[in-house]
Amino acid sequence: MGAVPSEPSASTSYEEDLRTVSACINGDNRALEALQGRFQKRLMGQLISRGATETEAHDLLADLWAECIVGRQDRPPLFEKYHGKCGLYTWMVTVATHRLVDLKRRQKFQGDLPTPRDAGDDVAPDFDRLPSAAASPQDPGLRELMTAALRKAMAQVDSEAFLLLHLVYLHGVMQREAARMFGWHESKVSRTLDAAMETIATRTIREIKAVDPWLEISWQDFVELCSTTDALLGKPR
Amino acid sequence: MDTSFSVLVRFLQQSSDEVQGREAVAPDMEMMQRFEAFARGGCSDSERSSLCQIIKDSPQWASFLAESVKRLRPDTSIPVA
Repeated sequence: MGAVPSEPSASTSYEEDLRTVSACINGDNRALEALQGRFQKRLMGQLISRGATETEAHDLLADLWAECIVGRQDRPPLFEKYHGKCGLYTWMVTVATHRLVDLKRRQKFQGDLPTPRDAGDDVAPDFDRLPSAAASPQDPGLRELMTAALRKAMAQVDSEAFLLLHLVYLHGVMQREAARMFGWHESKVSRTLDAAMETIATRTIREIKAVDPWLEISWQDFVELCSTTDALLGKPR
Repeated sequence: MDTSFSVLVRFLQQSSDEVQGREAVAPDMEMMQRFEAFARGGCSDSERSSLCQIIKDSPQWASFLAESVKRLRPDTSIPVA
């Protein structure tokens, strides 16, 4: 089971990202072009790998860059929400993934809307029901999907494995101490932990695919999205 | 240590209003004694299964069981003067 890729300490290496963001918001076009040059292809690749078509990825990123710099309607520039709690690229790919989920949900909803013929000629299609603006990072779509899938997967882990995960990975109990508690060999503790994490990973991704079959998300993507949620939604340092 | 699990738990805590800010209510004396027996490896299979299920239902109690385990470590004993 892979660990979350570590990022540099927020107090050091993200300072450069913060400076770049500040320059972009303040109208430094060269800083923005340099940033787009660094990120655009990678972001396109990430979105396509997560289920976007090339056109969707292109359009979504065009909107995202614009909103990062100038905002949308009465909203301030999105970059103002970047507080340097994680790398800027990680932040952007997380926001973009949330946007992708929102876009796909809107497309699905649009497909489900009744046509005038379906509903009777006196009823116009209610396109006002459609969300008019792209989702903000606070919109719950992806987060709710992830939470529900993860909760369901965790509930399916048997109680002994569940306890071992908590003791060893959250509370610093050593595997040999856990082995003594259970009267097991230490290797059985290790195998149980690995199997439990595998169960959580497999079932979480399965749950997500059951709700949104188009969403191509790996377990590593999932864990990374979980780890950046705080940085995405968190308050300034 | 696999950091994924702690990331997942933190994510769930952030996503759950009911968990956020909730204080862990300490187990009563009888439960603490059961935890201590479990920590020593002194539980029967059925008692162990029962305690595992209790903690699955109340995961915040895992920390109390973990403390019982850590108290058994030799280096946590009070040094002799």
